[in-house]
Amino acid sequence: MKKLMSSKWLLLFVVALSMVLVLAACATDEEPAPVPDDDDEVVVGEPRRGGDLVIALDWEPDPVIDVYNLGWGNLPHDLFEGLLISDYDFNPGPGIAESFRFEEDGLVQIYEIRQDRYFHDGTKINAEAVKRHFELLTDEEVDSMSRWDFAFISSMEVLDEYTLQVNLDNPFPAALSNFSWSGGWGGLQNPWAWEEYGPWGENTYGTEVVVGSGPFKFVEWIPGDRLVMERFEDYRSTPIHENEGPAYLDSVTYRFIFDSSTAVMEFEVGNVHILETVPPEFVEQVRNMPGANVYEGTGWEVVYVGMACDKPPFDDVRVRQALNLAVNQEEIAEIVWMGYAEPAYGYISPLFGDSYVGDKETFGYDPEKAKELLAEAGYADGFTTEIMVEPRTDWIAAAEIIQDMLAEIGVTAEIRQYERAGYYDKLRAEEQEMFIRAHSWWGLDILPWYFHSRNFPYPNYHRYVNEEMDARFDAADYADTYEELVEGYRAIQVDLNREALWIPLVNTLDIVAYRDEVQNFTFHPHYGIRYNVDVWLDE
Amino acid sequence: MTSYIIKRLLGTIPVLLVATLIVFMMLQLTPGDPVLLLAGERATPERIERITADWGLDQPAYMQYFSFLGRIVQGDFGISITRNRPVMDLVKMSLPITLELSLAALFISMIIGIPAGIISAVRHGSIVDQAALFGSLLGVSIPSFWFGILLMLAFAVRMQILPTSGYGTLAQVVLPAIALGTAGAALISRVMRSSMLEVMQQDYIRTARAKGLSERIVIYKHGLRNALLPVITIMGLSLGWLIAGSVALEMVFARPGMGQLLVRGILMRDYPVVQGMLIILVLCVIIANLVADILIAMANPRIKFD
Repeated sequence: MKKLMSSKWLLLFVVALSMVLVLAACATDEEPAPVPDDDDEVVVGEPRRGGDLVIALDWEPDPVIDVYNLGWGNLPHDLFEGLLISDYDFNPGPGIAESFRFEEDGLVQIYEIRQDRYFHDGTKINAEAVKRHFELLTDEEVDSMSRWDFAFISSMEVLDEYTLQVNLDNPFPAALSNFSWSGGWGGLQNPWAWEEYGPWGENTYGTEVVVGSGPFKFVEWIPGDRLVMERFEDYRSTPIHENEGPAYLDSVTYRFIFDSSTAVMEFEVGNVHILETVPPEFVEQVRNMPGANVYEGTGWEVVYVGMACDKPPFDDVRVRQALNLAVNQEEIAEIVWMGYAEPAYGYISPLFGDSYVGDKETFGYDPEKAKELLAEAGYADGFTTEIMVEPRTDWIAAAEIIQDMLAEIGVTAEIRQYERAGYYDKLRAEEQEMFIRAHSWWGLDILPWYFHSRNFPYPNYHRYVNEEMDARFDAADYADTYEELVEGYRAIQVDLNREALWIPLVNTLDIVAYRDEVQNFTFHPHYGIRYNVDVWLDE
Repeated sequence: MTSYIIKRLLGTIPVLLVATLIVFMMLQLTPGDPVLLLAGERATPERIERITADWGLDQPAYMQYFSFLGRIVQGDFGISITRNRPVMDLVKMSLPITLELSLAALFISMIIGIPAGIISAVRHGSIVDQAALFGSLLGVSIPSFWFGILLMLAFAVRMQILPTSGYGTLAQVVLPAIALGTAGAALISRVMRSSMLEVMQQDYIRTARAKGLSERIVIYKHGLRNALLPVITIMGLSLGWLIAGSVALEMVFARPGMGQLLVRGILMRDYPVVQGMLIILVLCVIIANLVADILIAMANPRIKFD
């Protein structure tokens, strides 16, 4: 009997312990913290030096093959600085170059380099260094990712120690914008360090050695774990920053936490200061955490359904228009992205401002008209097709909803999942029909990238070939002024919209969470980045 | 014993060859080109061609395999396509992290599984036995990554007595080891229980009892030592699946171990990483089984090294 009792107690203990564990895990704080009002400004105290800002990324920078590919996001902006930097209104302003002027109708650009700037290894930045950097960038042998973004440079001359002349064969209004991109393209790096440690030398550049001139210098990159950088004491800031330099923070650590729940928990306990991406399903939870702030803003990403426009039935514009009218973007944004996305009605993000042209008539929702258009095109009974999708939860959910919406107009779509490598292979093999994709490009050159016939069949996997449109792309790219470039691209979009080459789905929102300790948090919408040089920690 | 170990290690060579060949063929047959992923969407055809040639991916598959084998013999695992680092460096970084978790999980499995199995066997049919059976079922059924998240929520977020994620300190391995070790404990306790039940019905146990030995000595000295043999075999085998199980937990607990590298390697078709990691993992499993065999021989003098 005594034995039985003790056994019972043991069982009771085991059950009670399990319940404590489950309850402890499920328990929420008694009172949720007040939700910060969007209009509330974070109280800004006096800047303080010190601290390690920890940022969680749910991805790791892209594989580094050459110097110019450190991945996207905020990371390159801490390490590098462009010749120019766009201000918060997207206008190119001073960066490494303190001023610039154009001569001979823009075919000669003269840049005055600041005299107080150094690379992280102590090398002084002068016109020669900038020239060598861009020479490497456009070198056929180097074959940089950014080569074509600076192909407009025909030659460069060092006029004096700190004056660089860039010569162009044709006017190229996007030049300033390309020079302003410190994340990869225009981000200045010590060209001689690259020659010593890059693939021509020790082949450790980008993994163990990185020499930029930004506010933080590279310390180490532990694959799959973290990338650490520390304050560069000799950094002197450009006018866009409040801080004149050097940075307040001792160091910045990017932790690669691939599991969103883990990242959110690390944020909650205070081990992470900034969550670079908050998945929609976690936004409310994060918002209710004490000491947490959430930034939400339109992002650059456009999620869309592509179509092989030269394959029947997609070669008929009426079919493409019908498919567009059958899809209700608002519903998809609400259900799949839980409202943290805006319905998309164009090929690029509305963040482009004046350069963006949407078309609600073509890309909107009108299933009745869709049926009429299908009948007109000879598909009154619909047709069968397939939607190719990568195994991402949100995209698969979107595909399932689209499948139902297309069924309403008689189109049977089969969803086929391919993981990334297989997906790309299908595109290369030209076997695509409908496919879900996204792009986050911030330049208008994304349009010829996807729709110019010189890029057929890849990356023009939308398979759109139109010689007249090719000529219009070329004319816009080499317009005399930026205004003419924008005008050209606006007109192009009007016509491309009518062609209904895609089914635009949503523009996803950039959602960043930061803790109260992070002071002077500012979000630059242009590149979807923050400048950590202005940030300090109040701990 | 030395000649036995050498013989066993030499026996691993054909196993390794077959394993690498199977993985190589699977990678080749699976659609997907690493260069396309590596070069990115904005890569020009020339750039794609150049990278393909640089990595020798334009060579016929059998040539790629033989050149890989040739390098392995020289101890060169190649360079990761996606990370531009020697695979051996990546192994050196990640192997200790994975081994730490796997061994800690094995330890947890042992300290929970063996006593639970013994108690269940000694009191078989009782409520304790039922509870252990229930616990085992629960342990095997709960997905370890989900259990990991639950543990993290309870001990790291709510009670804040253990770190949430990461690696490097003993405290950081506790939660993932419990999450991973629970399923192993369930298996070990079941094997321990049935083995113990069988042993406790043997004649020598009856003899020991007849001699008037205390129940404690009968169980621990005569019963346990004999009943442990199948458990040691299971533990040797389970190190293999513990390493495999660590893949999910490494993601959840943000530990840059081999599982995480391997998954990314497979997704990005990083052939050198996948091949290199696989060889190391196969070696780990072979060594674990070898150690288990030696331990069995030590625990059971009737077994002779042959």
